[in-house]
Amino acid sequence: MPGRSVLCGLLVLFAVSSLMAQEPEDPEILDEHADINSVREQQDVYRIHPLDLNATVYEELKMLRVLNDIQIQALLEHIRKNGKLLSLYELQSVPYFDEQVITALLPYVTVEETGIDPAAGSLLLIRYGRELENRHGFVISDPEKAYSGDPSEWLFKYRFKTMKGIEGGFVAEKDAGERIGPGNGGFDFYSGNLVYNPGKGILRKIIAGDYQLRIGQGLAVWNGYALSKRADVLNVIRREEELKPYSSANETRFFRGTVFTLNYKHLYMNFFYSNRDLDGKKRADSGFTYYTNGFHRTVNELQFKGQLNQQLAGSRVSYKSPDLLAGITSAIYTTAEDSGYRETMKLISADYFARYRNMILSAELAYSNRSFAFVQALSVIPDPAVQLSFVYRNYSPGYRSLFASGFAEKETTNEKGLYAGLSLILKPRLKLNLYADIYRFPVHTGYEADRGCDLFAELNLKLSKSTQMLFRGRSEWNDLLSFLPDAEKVQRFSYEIRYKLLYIELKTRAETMMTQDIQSGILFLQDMQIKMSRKLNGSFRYVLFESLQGRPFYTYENPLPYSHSFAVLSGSGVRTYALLKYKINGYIQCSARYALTWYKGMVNIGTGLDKIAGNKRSEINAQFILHF
Amino acid sequence: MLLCLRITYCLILLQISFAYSQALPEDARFTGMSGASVAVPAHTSPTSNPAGLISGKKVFSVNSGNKYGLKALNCHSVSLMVPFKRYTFGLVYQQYGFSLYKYRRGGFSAAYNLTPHFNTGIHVSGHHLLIGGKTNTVLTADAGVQYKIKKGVFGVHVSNPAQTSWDHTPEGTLPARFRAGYCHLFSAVFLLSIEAEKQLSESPGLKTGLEYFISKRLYTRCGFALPGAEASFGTGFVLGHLQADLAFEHHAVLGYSSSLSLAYAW
Repeated sequence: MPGRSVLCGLLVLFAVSSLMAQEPEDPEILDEHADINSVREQQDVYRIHPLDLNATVYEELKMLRVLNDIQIQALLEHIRKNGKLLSLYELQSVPYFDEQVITALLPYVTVEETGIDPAAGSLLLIRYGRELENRHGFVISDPEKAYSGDPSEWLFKYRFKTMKGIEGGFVAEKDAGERIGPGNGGFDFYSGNLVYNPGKGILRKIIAGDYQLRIGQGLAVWNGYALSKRADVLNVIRREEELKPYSSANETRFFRGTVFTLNYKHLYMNFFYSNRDLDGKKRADSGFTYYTNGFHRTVNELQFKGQLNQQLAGSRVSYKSPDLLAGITSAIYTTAEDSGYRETMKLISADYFARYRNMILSAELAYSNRSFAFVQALSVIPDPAVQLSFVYRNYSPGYRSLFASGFAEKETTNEKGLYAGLSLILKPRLKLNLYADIYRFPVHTGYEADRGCDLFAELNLKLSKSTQMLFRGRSEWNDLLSFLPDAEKVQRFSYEIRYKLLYIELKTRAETMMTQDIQSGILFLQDMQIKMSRKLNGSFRYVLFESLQGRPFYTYENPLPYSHSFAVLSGSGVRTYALLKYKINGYIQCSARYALTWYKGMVNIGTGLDKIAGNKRSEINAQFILHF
Repeated sequence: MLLCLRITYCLILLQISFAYSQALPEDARFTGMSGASVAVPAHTSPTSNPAGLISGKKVFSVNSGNKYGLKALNCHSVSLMVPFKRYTFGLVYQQYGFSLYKYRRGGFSAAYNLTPHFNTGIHVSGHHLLIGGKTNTVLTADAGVQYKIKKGVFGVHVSNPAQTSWDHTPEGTLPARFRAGYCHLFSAVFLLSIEAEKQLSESPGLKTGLEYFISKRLYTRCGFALPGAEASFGTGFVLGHLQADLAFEHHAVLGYSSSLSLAYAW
């Protein structure tokens, strides 16, 4: 019953947060298209080369994922009014900055003017991984169905950046089961780019190669990591660096071509073009089916590789000032198949981002396929102890954009909803975060829920500098006519505690998930990080889980530097891993990890070609990083 | 056939009005806060917690609202509040309906400031219902308290504890309602109110609302209530002695409600 769910919606989780850097949210709260590798990579870069606060811009601070929009604006306003920060202690005098925020920010920032670009230099990364048990696709004898390659995964990444605004890099990647060698053109996936970013003059930036665009609030064009509902209830307004060179291994969420930016005073003009091949096929009726998992392991998967060609061309005109960003974007894209069938779509959108006193407003209106999509967001701090955010969205059923990633429960079409987030600082070390999201899907089949409600609450208690507790509760239900017997409700509660003892950091979490018919799943997690010496660090995890049918647990794992993954824990069993990181010197770092998942009472794991005989799945990963 | 339809319509309205009459629309200020009013001090709404009427001002107000777009649920009310020493007395008149179905209510409130931190109040209402040519009149009573702490107020309000009935049947019983909540006054320009409500025959509900002074004369309000996932927004404007408030409420299934209030304080 909704009343009961609301009354028991807040269970306090004791989470002792260590002095570790801020971690991303639970995966259930993250956008499913999150490309978090680029976020972690950015954070790691600034950990090694801290960001100079006196020479930074809004988009760079946003990329840190530590400050919300109001805090970023307050910091920039403070520097604009009072001059450069002389010491990091001055952050205490910036409005809306408290001890918790400053502690989270410190690892990534400095105020020392070095004259050196913090990211200048080169990075070489080599990563290897494989599962020790063979999946069915590796042992099957039928060559038409078997995986064409071996079980190893490889990733090579190189990036460089010079002091003169030139940067570039490349990525080569192969998934398990994909073939490597001259017959396949080498690796399965390649990506690269060259960037010229002088920082001044009329030509502000030019990228040739693979790049990402992040425009407005994501209704028209947005590649990569996208904010959605999360425990940080205020960070719902998007404002990112609009053009970014692409350096991830995701094989779909980028453009390939060229883009450049012209600038005159407050006026900016971007022109972009992309021409790339996609995996997919034409559907029988009309339209295309896109395959976005990036796997090319079998004959069947290989036959759809690069079968579609997509071209995109567009431009954007925007006005930027300290308190206002307004822009208009237009684009046309065509997807075509070898048979000659093609579809063309036009996009146009207008967006703005404005700050007024203690409020930030942002909105975007997009038009495509003779339909509109609209989103309006507001963040406001009416009192130093209170922060509010609202997002209203209205996406017509007919609205279509292949590149959209708007704020939504499902996708940027056929959805209306209202989100409200509230953050209260009850006491200096006690923070309460809440959000409520009610939404509906105007067009639906008779078998699907046409509306839903999502409630979230988190109590964050910092007992001391090394001890933090988190209590989280989340209640979701579809079809608000809750008296109907098939209304689907799921409630999740979690309790987490982290604490630091000398060189050991421990994290303990208990999590439960319940449905309306009182079935429940449970998860216990224990993490330990040990600083064994100045050069050697170890991480260990043990998870005991029992999930509901069709509702797995997702646990975020930070397996190796510059990477992330989500363990999908379905059924009943144990997952454990051990990770060692060794810094040979200031430039070279090696890491190795062994992980094991054991399922209780299962004869096989997975189905089809992914099936593993037995009830155990183990994997090893190794990584080498060179900074120079 | 037409008479049959009209009677059926009246019966439907009767069902709604049983809950409606006990939870008649708040004034626009509290509608904009999803009705989270039990702990809000110094208000002028005679249908909310009577203990909160202590404001030290004479107030005359009119309110007009509509629930869920139903024409028959256009509700109008008028009220007067007068302070006297440590008391505040209030009179209210409300009505909604149409020719075959008409509901009227007249009420009297009295609030008393016991101590600087403690207020108490009672409210007595006479309800009159005309349906299909037949009339019924009943009396209900409410009581409430508010207790102030440093930066907040606790409030409790009980309505119709005796469960008065129109026709001495369970179906005709006006529900008893219990509300308890807390309002935190973060500053002179921002308050946050939260309350829990329970009617005997219904599942419990939770309401939260906030009010923010954008400037000296302009308010904005919003709120959220469960069950029903009702979201509300409101705004208010003060010009000298005159205050105007407008609010909208959206129920995820039943649709939109609106409310407009005008008050003159002196």
